[in-house]
Amino acid sequence: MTSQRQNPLPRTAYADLLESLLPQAGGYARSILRSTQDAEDAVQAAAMRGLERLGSYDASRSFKAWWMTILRNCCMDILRARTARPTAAEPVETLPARMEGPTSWEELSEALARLAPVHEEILRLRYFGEMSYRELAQALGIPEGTVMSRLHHARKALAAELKGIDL
Amino acid sequence: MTEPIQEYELSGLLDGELTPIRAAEVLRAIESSEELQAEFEALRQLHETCQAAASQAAFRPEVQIERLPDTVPCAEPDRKSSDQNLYTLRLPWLAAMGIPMLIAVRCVAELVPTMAITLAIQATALAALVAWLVRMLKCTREQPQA
Repeated sequence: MTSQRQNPLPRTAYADLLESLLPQAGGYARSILRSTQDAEDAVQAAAMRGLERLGSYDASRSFKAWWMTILRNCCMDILRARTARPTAAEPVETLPARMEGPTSWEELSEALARLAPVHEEILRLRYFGEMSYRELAQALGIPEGTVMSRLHHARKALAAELKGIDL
Repeated sequence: MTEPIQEYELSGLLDGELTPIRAAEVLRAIESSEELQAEFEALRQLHETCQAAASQAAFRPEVQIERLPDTVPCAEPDRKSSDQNLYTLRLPWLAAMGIPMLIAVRCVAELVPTMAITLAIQATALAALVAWLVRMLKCTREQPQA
């Protein structure tokens, strides 16, 4: 069992692992927050929080799954703060569904936001976070078999939302 | 006996998450059914469209990793270094206590018993104070720079 008393991941190893995740992390956070600045803030906050909680990281599991969960929580914190304290942030334009499917990340993000939370979450992690089935399973706390079925149903729901592809 | 194809296995095949044997079985099922072919093709188009769109969002945030602290702030001092401190402090502590005690013992024959006991207590307190001061000074010197 991992505890504070065991040797945590060294800072250099943590930084190296984090460095490799930054592009996907930026894209994932931006898809949720629809703001580049907020996405940077969320990633920075997650980097600090991950360092504080290194003792909870189980080295036998996926670092990406563990850290992206932290990032997601940081994004949710920013969203809640934004809801509680509306600011003159970037206007979020509601884009209409396209028959041909999303051609930009904003359109895809908008379409995902209209899905049920369980479908939105897995699709965002899959496409913006570029997570494998194993990483999705660990991040969501579900078996890999469930990842496959949930992802499939999420894709069907997205297709129905886009109204352009009949699955 | 081949298990019946589950609809979600189309996604598994698309994502390369089926075992080679199962992938071959699903492929055979697709090739023998127009309905499955259409469904798989639609799924593939949606997948590629989403991948292409999502890849546009990727960017490297300016995370100040080099400014992260070297270690997680720890409420307790490092046990190993504190053990070393205690070990290195024991000798001067013992000496600080021992010398007045020896003097007290040497003089006990000539002193009133009460005075001897008082001297011993004061010597012990002085030794403890000195040891504590030395330890505080060492801990202060070992604190990381802010």
